[in-house]
Amino acid sequence: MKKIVVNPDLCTGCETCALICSYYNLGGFNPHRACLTIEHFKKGVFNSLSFCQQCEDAVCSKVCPTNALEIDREKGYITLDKDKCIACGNCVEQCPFDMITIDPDTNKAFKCQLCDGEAYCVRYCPHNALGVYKK
Amino acid sequence: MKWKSYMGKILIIDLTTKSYEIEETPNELIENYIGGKGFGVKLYQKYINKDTEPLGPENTIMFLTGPLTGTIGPAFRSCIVTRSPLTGTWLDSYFGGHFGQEIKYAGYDVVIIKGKSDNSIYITIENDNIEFHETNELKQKMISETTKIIKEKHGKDFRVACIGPAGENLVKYALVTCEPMRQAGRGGAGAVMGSKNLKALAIKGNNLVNVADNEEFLKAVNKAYEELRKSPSIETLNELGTPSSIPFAQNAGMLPTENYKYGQFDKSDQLESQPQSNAFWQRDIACSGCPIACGKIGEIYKGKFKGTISDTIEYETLGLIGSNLGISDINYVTKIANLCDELGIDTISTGGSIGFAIEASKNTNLSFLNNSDLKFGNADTILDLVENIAFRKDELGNILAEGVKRASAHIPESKEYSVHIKGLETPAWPPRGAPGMGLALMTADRGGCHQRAFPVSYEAGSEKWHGENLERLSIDKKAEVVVYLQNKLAALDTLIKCDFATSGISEETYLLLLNTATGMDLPDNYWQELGAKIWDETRRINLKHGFDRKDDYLPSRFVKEPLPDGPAKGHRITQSDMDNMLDEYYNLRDWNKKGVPSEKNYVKSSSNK
Repeated sequence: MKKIVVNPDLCTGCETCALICSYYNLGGFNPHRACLTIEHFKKGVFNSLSFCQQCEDAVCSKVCPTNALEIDREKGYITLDKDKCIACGNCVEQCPFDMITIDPDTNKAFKCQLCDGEAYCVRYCPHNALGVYKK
Repeated sequence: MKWKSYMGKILIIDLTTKSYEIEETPNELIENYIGGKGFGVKLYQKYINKDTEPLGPENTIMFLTGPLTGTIGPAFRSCIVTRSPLTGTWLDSYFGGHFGQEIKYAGYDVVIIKGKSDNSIYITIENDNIEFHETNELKQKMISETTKIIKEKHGKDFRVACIGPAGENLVKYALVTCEPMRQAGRGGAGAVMGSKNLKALAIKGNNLVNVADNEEFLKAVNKAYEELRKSPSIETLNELGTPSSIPFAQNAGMLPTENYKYGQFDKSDQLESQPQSNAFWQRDIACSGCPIACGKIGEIYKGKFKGTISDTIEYETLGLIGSNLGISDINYVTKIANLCDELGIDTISTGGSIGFAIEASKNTNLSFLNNSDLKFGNADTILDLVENIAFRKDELGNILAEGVKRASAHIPESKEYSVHIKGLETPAWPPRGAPGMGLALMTADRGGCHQRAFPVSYEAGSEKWHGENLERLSIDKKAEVVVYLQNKLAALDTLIKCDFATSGISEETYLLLLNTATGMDLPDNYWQELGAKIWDETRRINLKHGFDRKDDYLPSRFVKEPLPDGPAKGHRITQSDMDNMLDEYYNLRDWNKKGVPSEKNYVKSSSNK
């Protein structure tokens, strides 16, 4: 599986990653609507970023009653089929990293799918603080 | 919305009645004035009149965004507009960080605050949910503590703009801090909030900022990134921050030293980037959507002030708190700047006021200046004085809290060394040795400010004007340069640009960003016309408040005293230099000899694609 990793030493807190994330996924800018989170100054003067871990044995996929969430080992991430999602919230409740939300506009689960493999947050980070780790 | 990237709403809060209303952002306003400073000049004239007392309940303070604020467009900011209690006229004060973006995410283009609360309060804004809260536990609290308490109470996603004790104590140059550590620093907007009994605003929202053409907008953003990457000055800012201007100013003889008496400081090397980096820099810090990251942040590693967290001590602060007060120890400069930030006072005006007081103490026997420790370089005494100003603790602190212009009225024969323009203490770019900079300071709409035009790069730097080097000490063509730069920057302050990004991003790319984000189809020559229109408006506001040609002159120090050091040694900007430059400047602007703009018909340039 693939996951996005961060070098906090290089993160400037500019939120470009979160801005491009909401833009790609929802068509507009708002870092609160991204499927990654940034906590500024979480550790002294350093920021803390959280990303979907694309878990090997993903709980979200197990608790989804409609199989909207599935582990795709070939793609390297947990896929979300929005058409199947019934917004029951099981995944949101069970995700150990709090990385799934129900989007208020679409009323569907919302999680990182590496922008279909493009990982725009990694590509747009102006200081190369992000990377894709592949196990 | 007819035009994309706007939120379409203006939030108007009345503190007297603790109520609010929401209005649509008029298309007419958007089409004629774009945003930011442009919105500011129109709304100022709607809400503030000639007799509005700056610290009275009828003054209005506005938080304005631009169409690109909150997008991924590189380095867009926000601003506060109000009537300044320091100058008594137009004030636009800009800030980066994340607070302005959050105004848009909450669904607004502008937040307007009027009236006065009868008790001290703060406001939370979460989309359309606006609440007023008592501030008992926040009274006279420092900035970082205030921000922390509000976030703990309401959630870490809220972005906070607040004042410190100085704002509550109506220090005339109190500032508003916009999280994190970004200040609307100049002109006393913090005192306006203080006068309204408004300690803080906290805001968050979940609205999306949508642009007109997703694909073309991203192309424009990528073009702007490319221009920033290619710019050597942007590279320097990222690597060394604004302290990189110290050696430039020192070599040019333009580093304010000992209340602007000198233009060079013998220990200037200690104020450069490296000593600061050694003292505390740990990582780069950027505002929302900014790839430049001029900020450096960390904790002082050792010594008396170990553990003090600080953002970069910027060039202006190094100039005004460092060389202008004769302090070279970077740990002390950092501590004093940090205290100013926590108390919520502008470091430029603080440094100007204290420098003035130190010079005055040498020249008079007034009891409140009778302190043998009050001298240039005595950092401990200056540290105490900063606190005395913010809390108006003693007679000297109380007088200096009023700024140089008013303080000078208490001290006989002090006008010769009181350095301000229109009541605003001048920045760390004293103009002897660069008359164009003199004109820029003389005519800056909010008073002595270097951000409205910065011709120094043409006079003492390597910029060329129409392919030619300008003669540094001559006044020839300087008015042309100043008018061009003022128009350009005022126009880009409708977006609202970051000053630093303009040394990378071209005017053409700014236009592309605006057109693709909003759906407008503005022509290539748009910026100069928009800027000239705004400059006419701010002039009319100044005239309304009684500021005219008589107020467009430099302080005596730069006019009567030849510069004693540096490459421009012996230079001063004479009365006739100033008169000639002003005549030419007014003429270029189509203002009469008194500086009154003619009526013009500006073409509305916005149109549907």
